[in-house]
Amino acid sequence: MVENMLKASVNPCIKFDMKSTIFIIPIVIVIGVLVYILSLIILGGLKALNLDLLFTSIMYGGIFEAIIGTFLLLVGTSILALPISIATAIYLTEYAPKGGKTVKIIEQSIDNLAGLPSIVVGLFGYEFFVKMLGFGVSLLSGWLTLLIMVIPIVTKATKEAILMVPEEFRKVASALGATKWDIIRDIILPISMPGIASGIILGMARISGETAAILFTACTLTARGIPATPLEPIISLSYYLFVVIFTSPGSAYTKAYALATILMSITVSLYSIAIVVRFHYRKRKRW
Amino acid sequence: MDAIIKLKNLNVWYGENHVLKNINLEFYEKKITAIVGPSGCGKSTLLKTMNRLIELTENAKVSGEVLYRDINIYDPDVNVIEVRRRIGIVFQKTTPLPMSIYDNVAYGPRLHGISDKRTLDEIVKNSLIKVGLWDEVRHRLKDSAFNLSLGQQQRLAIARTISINPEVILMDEPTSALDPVSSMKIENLMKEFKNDYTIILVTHNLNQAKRVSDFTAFIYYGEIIEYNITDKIFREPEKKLTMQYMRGIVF
Ligand SMILES: Nc1ncnc2c1ncn2[C@@H]1O[C@H](COP(=O)(O)OP(=O)(O)OP(=O)(O)O)[C@@H](O)[C@H]1O
Ligand SMILES: [Mg+2]
Repeated sequence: MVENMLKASVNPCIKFDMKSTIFIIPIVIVIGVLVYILSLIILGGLKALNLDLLFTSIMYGGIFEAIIGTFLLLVGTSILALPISIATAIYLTEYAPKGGKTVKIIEQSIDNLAGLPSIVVGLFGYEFFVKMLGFGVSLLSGWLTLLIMVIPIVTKATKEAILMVPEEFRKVASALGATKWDIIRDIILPISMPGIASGIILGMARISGETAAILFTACTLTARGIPATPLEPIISLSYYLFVVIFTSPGSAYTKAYALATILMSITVSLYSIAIVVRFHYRKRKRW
Repeated sequence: MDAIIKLKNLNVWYGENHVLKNINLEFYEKKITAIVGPSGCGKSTLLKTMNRLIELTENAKVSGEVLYRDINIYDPDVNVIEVRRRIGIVFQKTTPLPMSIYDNVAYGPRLHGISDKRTLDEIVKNSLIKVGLWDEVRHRLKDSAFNLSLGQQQRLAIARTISINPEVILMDEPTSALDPVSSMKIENLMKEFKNDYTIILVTHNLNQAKRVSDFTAFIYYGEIIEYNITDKIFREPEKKLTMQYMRGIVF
């Protein structure tokens, strides 16, 4: 009896130790590789980075246009993605018949969209927005192409946030005479906001370093200055990094590191903000 | 005595599950009617049919009539929002809306088109006074309603319900989540409210039904077994089943 009890209490401990070592090895490897990459890029980047570089035109050896280009892509795509994604999520959760075919088809499409390789999205954007709709290689075509990648992310985040809203609020508000739309506007959307915000930030993080999708749709090497209209092409950080590495492997390497450092800090900051928002949101939620 | 709500041959199904069977019942104006019966027998469902809140449940089907002042609230040309304004409900679970204390009470009036700040202030104040919450919260009306204690939250829910001037208040086990002191406060409110409202109270607490109600209906697996003046039904029930339930023999 006592022996059995001892065995029972000892065994899990051994197993646990084995398990934790098995899990620790890959974690150490992954973190090691990450630290190595980060330090390589940041050390290289710090040597080249300075304020002059950021605010000088590409024509004079800076990267100003690329920073503006990435900024315009991120902001424009987010502004377009928000209403579309929120509307889709509201339709799916509130209006579409539950468990119906429409919902399944839309949800499946969104999942598939999220899984498309970005080069394929880029090819579609080129054929559809650039050529068929005639928007040319432009900021607008870039926005629309990136939307395809961002909408699934924001829609999913919004849907999850909406589904977390307790059913009781609906009952209470309906009992006071609220219509479905009243409830969406006054209760569901306000308390889903942090979830939607973390979704849009995640979406921005996902496309901040995106190259393939904008390669043929938004960027040309000759783009100069800030585009006057969305129908003009741009240069983004990722695209310019690609060009720098591709065209002059030797000489421009310091510039490449500078570009990579900026890109990486943007992406890492966006992911961190998304995580913080989400964490804060979970902790604070008490209804 | 005038009946303000009359149920005629009321039946409710959830899918195939027939939960209310041919209910015929009258609720008298400015009286408190208690509905008692074992768990799962259809009490909440009965309340929800009386302001059409049952329509939020997708698989629910209702047949028969709910007459409110002789108008069938299920008639196609009846405005469901107006029905819910006149027939309010307080739930067992104290659910503040995710807004400030003030907005919880002002939300209903706003939904019904009142936007003047001074009118809203007045309504909020009067509603909170009526439930005895004004002095406790007057200095923190902008606080989240979730900062209130459970008992306060339930009184807030009642204030929220009366903010739109209902004639009938449905109460679904309003005290069963509360401590004894908070429960007593709510019971006292019900007694005070009798002058102004018709109250239909679902309760598991037979003593509560005895203390506050004028009439009591005993419902058992979807059927009304007995309905009478509270004194009568507790002292000398006509049916054996009622007596057994009152004595705690059947649940
Ligand atoms: N949405 C629903 N779908 C299917 N069945 C339901 C649904 N809601 C309630 N029921 C069933 O209908 C019956 C009556 O439920 P109801 O909530 O009205 O009972 P109740 O008398 O209020 O019980 P309690 O005292 O536990 O609150 C129960 O058997 C319950 O399981
Ligand atoms: Mg119930």
